[in-house]
Amino acid sequence: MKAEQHPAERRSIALMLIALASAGWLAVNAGGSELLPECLLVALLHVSLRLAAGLTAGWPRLLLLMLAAAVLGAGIAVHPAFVLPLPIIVYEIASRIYRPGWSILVALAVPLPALPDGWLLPYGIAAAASFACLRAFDTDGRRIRTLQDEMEQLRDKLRRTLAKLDEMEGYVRQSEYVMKLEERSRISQRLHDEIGQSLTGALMQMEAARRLLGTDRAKAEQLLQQAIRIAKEGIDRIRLTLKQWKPLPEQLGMHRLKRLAAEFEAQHSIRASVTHEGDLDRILPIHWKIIHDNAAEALTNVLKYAAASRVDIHVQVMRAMIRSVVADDGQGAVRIVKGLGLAGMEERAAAAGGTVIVDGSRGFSVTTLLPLDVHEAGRRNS
Amino acid sequence: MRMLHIACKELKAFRDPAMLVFMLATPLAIMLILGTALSRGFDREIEIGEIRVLYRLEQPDRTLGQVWSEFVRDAESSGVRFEVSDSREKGLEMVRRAEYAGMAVVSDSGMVYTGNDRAAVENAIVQGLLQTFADRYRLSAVLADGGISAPEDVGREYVRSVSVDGTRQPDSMDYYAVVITTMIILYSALTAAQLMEWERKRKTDLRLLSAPVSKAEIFVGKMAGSFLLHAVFVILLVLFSRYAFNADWGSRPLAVLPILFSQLLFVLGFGVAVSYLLRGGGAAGVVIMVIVQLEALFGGAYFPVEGSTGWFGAIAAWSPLGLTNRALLQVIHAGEWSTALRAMAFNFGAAALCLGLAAVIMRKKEGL
Amino acid sequence: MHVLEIRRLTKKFGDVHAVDQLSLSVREGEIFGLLGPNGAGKSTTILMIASLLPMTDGEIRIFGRNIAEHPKFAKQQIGLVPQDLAIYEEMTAYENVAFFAGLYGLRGKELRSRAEEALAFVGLEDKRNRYAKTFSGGMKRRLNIACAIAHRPKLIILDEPTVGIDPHSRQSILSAVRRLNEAGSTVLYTSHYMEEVESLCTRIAVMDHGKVIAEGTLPQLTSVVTDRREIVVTLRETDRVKEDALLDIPGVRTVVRDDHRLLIETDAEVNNLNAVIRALTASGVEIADIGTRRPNLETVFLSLTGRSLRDD
Repeated sequence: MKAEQHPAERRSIALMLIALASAGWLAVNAGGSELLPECLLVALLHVSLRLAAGLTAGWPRLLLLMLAAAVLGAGIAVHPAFVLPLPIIVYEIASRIYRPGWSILVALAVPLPALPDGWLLPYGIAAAASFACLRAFDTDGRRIRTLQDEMEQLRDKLRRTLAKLDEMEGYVRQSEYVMKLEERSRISQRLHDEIGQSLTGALMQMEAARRLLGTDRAKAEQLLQQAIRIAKEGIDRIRLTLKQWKPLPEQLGMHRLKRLAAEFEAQHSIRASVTHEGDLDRILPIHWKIIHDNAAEALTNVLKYAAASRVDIHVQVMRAMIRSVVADDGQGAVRIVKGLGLAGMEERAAAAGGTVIVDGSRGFSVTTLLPLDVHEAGRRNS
Repeated sequence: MRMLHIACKELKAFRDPAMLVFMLATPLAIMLILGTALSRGFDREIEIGEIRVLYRLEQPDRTLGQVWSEFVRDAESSGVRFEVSDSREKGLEMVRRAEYAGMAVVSDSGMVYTGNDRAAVENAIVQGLLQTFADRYRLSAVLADGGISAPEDVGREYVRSVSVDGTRQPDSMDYYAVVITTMIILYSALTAAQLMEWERKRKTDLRLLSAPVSKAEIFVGKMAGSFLLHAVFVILLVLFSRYAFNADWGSRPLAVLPILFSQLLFVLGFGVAVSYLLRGGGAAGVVIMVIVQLEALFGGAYFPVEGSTGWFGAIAAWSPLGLTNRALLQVIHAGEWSTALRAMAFNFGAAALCLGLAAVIMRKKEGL
Repeated sequence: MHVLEIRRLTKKFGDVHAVDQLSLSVREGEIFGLLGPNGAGKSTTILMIASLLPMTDGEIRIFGRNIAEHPKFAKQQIGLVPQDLAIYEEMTAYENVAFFAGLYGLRGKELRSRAEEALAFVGLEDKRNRYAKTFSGGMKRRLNIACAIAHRPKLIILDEPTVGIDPHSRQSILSAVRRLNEAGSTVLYTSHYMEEVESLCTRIAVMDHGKVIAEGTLPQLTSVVTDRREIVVTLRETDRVKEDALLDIPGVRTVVRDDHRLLIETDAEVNNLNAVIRALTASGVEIADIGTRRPNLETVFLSLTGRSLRDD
């Protein structure tokens, strides 16, 4: 994680400086040749800390820190100046285990009685400085992590909002479709009424005219004239009504589905069949939309993954559930990873209170289950 | 306290008669075999392969010189040979190279004894003899532990009065009673490695984790139970070897228990930590077995390794088991606690490290 | 009050959803069945309820409290009977029960009496001092249950408790579950055996591929598929059967002859068996055998998923 790099980088640089300072001090006081093992120890310490900083996994980092501590311990045995990097190591180890606050000062104070003479002041300074720096780095690191989390959450929210938007658009399209259907039923109702009225009226007149044909010719002609008038009016009104009536595309969902299957078979030379069972009239338009969209998605997946030679679509209406299955005879899969397509299918079905089951044990089968209200049924047109 | 409850279960669940027999009878058998079979070879090392000590008399007065010569003669018959050294530096160098067990610099103001601290038993004997000598002249014996370090470090001087329990020398049974006990403690790392695997095998880990006890409580409870169980074994071993085999555990046998328990804690912690690092029973068991065998060898469980040289000696010097063994022998035969304190500090420190590591890994892990 | 409420529970192992947006709730006093084929996600769900497996997403509440926020409270309410035996064979039956009860905070006299109660409940009180190692398979299963109930949990969860057990022990386990329920505990029971779930559970959720595909009482579930049942009458001879008389009976839909059997399809709700028998005997027909076929959970599952509950 990048965020962890920077404070740790700075820490190791800080350590390096302290180590070099103490090495320098040694050089001044102790004389040259003895310095080599100390320098090696410092280098080893530095390397292990750099490695520890690079690892983010829990226990390997801890192990390396302990190694560093051991090396430091060896160093202290060699020369007491190695107590100076000690506060940093202690802090690092403690922060792996819990979040150290001021309590760490207590831990840092522990080595004080064991320090050789004259080292009290340098150690105290090193401890105080290390503590201050490391606290600051820690706070920085934590703030960065919080910001990252926030960003993640916002991204998530955005995704969800976009998905909802998509859903809403789907709803809008669906209600448009429903409205269209309602309008058409109204029109057909009116047509029915019109024809009925006009024809009955005209018929009555004509019947009366026929009866009067032998006796009162003039009255009969009058009645016939009226009949013609009523009929003409009726035809006009029908013509008017028909003008408003645009050609209906496929209303019945089953036809749409069959067309989907036929197109698929034609384009991809995979045999596709549609069968059904039960009372299809109970299926509401919103159900058909879900069945159709899910079937389309499932067919796409068959193309992509199944390596199949045939696909069967089966729509079954049970008493309180509609079941629509798209099943192929392909290779199937033991474990199924949910991709965007599947997630979309589930969300569509969930909008109507249903669910989608995907099974890969014998080829792929995508089953959409939609609950039906037993009482309302689909009898809106009667 | 739920931890106590879990600890008790740990004890109760250990009703494996085969295990009990193994853990008690096997070490006792080994002690018996090695202690009696190797006794002659063992004693020879100490008695006949005499202890050689350098000495320098600095400005002695006549009485001191005379009594010292008498003392040197007497010491010869106890197997300790004092040889004069012409220079301090050369003498200390020879001590450092383990050509001599130590060097005593005697003057009428006091005595400084510098010993090679890898020759614990020899040092103990020599110190005892010197103490007797000093007592006779009411000198306070100034003893210094030089070891292999640079002469300048001799500046750390300790004034101690050393009490030695007669002139009884540790024989093979005494030696093996100690080292076999510590070796058996070492083997308990294997059971510690199975601590959690044991629950997983019985599927009781599901019950433990679905109960309102925290992982920490489970860990501590099981460790405590395991510790108690093994501690009882250790006490039994000590008592048995003391009263049945007459092994020497010092004037107060129970005084060595803190050292043994510190080692036990370290070993258990080590076992658990390795099992968590290596994720599971199989690999951990193999690794621990190898480590235990090597440790037993280098730590002196099969034969004394003190004074060994070369690469073997170098490795043996760093062995934690060796440290504990040396500590025990020094306490028992010389009544000296310095090594013991070092050993306990190391053991407790290492135990804390291992247990801490195990605890951290356990926390992050899914399941036990 | 809902004992258990699960909302949109999800568990992913890598990329695979073992449990997918699962929601259900269990009311107090129910025996709630979780039925589904192997691999449907029943055990995974159970593990998450018992806090043995972390959730990828979703929320589980016990008595209204989120188990992620109140873990110890949640665990205290639950008694888990795992699918595999989880007992210490090296200890006696009493020691086993007492140990696990102690983990739930019971001490001293209360611990002793509750442990005794639990053993008595499963019929092992006279074996309390025998080592679990010496028990038969059925006895070990009973001990498995006893270890879960000593602390009187409000919710007892049994995960496929009858897999691979002889019929006698199976019956004793089922009756133990009923008695536990009568004693006031709510039970969550998972299984892939339809007959057990049908006879035992008050409400059932049918699971497949990590989701609940149908939920309700047994009649509610069967009525999803159809509201009909079939009366099958085996006759000596069929020539004297008057179909019109049968069709007149309220509820009867169709009458079909099949060899010398009559398949009478009728509404499930209407109780017309007596009327059918009367109509047949009135026309002098001799009934050799009569029975009712109604959709069972196997049928429900098959209708909804196209697969069978058992994969054998």
